Amino acid sequence: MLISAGMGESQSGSAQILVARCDCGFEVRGTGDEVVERMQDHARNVHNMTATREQVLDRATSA
Amino acid sequence: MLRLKDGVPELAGPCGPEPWYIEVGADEDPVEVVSRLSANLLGPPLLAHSTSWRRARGGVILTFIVVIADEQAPDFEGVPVGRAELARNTATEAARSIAATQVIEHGLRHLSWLAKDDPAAKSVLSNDWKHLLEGYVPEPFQHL
Repeated sequence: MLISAGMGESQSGSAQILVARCDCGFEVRGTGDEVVERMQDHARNVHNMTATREQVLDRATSA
Repeated sequence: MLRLKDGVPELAGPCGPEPWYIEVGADEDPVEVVSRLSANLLGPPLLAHSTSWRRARGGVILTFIVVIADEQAPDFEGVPVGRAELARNTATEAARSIAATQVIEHGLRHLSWLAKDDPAAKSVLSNDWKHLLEGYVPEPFQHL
């Protein structure tokens, strides 16, 4: 899969921060919903790919 | 995605200096997909032509050379394209290792042939492009 993602909690522990990174260098940071939406847009518009929410989140590592 | 900057070809596009990978579904036309995404992201290309294929990344990869105008898509970073030796193997076997620079070199040699032989390519390529491509040996049928 072209897209990898990192997920972790902020230092306060109050909010989960995701980092998603595409092989092409595109990177997204934000909440889970933000990262999924922006990465899905990137996959569709730039790579003609359909990335499910699970595909983005399942590959999560610490931000 | 290639454009000229001060007479030097540049690799540019949404993935910057990296090759731009596009997935093509089984029921999709690769030329249509490449042309559509190129137009959506960078504006209409001057030329989109498939120059080679190879097996990699778990599938078959079709290489397209897409030429855009010199001043097109200035917001996208570009890197100069240098010359490279072609990847070669035997007469009936594909090269086992092919670098991105070799794929581009092959594509530019293919484009050199198109610039001389294909009326459509001739009509859209600028004189600067044609001058540059005179330095590339046309090898339209070499497997890469």
